[in-house]
Amino acid sequence: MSPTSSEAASRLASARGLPATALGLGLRLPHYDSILTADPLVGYVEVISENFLGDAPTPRQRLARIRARLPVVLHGVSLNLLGHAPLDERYLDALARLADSVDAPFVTDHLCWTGAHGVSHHDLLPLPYTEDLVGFAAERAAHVQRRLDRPFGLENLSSYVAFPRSTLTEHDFYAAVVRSADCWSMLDVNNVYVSSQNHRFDPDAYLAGIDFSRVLQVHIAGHTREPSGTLVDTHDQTVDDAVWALYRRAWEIGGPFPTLLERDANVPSLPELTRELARAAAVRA
Amino acid sequence: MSAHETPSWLADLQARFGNTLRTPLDRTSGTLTATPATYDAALVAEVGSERLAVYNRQYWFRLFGVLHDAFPLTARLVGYWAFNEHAGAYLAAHPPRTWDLDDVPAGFADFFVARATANVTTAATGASADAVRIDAAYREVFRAPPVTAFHPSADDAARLLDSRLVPSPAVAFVREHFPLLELRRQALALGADSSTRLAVPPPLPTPRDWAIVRGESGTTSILLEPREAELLGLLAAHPVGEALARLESACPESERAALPAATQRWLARSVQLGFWTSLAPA
Repeated sequence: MSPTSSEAASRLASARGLPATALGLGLRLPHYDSILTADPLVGYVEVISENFLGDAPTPRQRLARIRARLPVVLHGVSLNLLGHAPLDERYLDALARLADSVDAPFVTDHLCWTGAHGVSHHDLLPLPYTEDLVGFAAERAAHVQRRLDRPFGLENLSSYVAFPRSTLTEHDFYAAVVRSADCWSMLDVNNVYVSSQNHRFDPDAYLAGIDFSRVLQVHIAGHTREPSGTLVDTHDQTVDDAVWALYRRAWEIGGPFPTLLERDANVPSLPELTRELARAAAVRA
Repeated sequence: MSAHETPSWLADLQARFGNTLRTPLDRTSGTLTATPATYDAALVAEVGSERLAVYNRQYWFRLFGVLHDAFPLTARLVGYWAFNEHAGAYLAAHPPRTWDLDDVPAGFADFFVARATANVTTAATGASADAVRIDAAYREVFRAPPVTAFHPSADDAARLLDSRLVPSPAVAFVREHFPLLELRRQALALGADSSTRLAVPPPLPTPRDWAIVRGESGTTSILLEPREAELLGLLAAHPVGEALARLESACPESERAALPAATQRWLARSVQLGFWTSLAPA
């Protein structure tokens, strides 16, 4: 960030609503209780929004207890921003109510599609990166941000396929959507690494294309290498050394930023997860 | 939200991609396998078909996982391989329609019972039919919205016989012909990472009826007396007075003398345990 961008820095700090160096954990079911007595290193948690949008009271009661102890940010997986059909306004209503109920500093979801033609695939699916998709995506992202009445961040995708139709690089597409929507980025460094290996692009060039004055938060996570060599964003292992190295470069370019560790399968104990999170502080020291 | 039109190619590409990732996994090798040779090869660039298999597998295994989690007893009882065969057929007929993954299992129990018992009725199919209904009951009770239990006032007592008791969505009633609630506890204790199959236990001498009840401290199971279960079923369908009359007329002569006191006790217990949310006109 340039020294002349104090206004942007102030806007960013306000949007984050978290200390710039905060460390957080993606909260998953095994830790709903133990997080209440977590190491003070864990400064906030992120929850999957959809797990708390239903009618069942138990998840919401758990979340209220956690919110009394820690700031909570919301991370969605079903917005379907790039689906061809109109956005689901009832989903947005429920999401806005949830964000209000936990006073979430910001809400994030993915720059992807999840369903089409009446079928929800419950996966984060890629698309060609094209000029005509930028305006479509940005308009919808801006709408989401207005509806939520709080900062909305888009996460870059990990992907396994590319499309002949693409005319833009992924990072140019990502940056253009965020800029056009005047929304925010939720940069996942593991996703950058996974996609860079799968599509043979330079992850440093990707980072160089990121406007860090719009980065609300950075995700780190583990991935799996399949026998074919394809990297898959599984979140079932510790963070790979190559991802830590990329994280350090992101920090050098655009830090400080809140950093969150995700783990969705083979979830270890909370102390073990916290020790891995502590590595983020060590890496960037 | 209309300045930018939807790109003309978007709906078609998403239809083709969606069809590809919903391609059924092949079972002929004895393991669930993606078949990239059958994909729409023009959809993606370069090494696309093999990479598309990642999405294809993710689609199915994520949804199988959701159904395993929602039906832990059933999956253990029939075994994951057989369970996934039913799950695959269900998902092909009823692909997910909403953003909520928890909606995916909504119709599975009925689908499973119809399919599993279509051509064969053995102890194993009977047990699996009981199991899927028990799993479904736990799921429904957990997902029910917050409820306020009905506590009758003096006025309510006066109009009770001509009114209906409204069942709480946080309570479900199940019947087991095998000791399956205990087996479900064992299934849950095994954890999601274990694929151990549980044997079908010997049948019970007589069926048992349970209320699955969501309370302040979690979900519990309450064993019901046979006639109590019958009463609760009648109360869910009829005004209170009519339910009591039907119970009495169905009751053998030998039980009639004890019935009024027992009925009072069962009604009081149902209110105490929060089986009802209100009293409604008949």
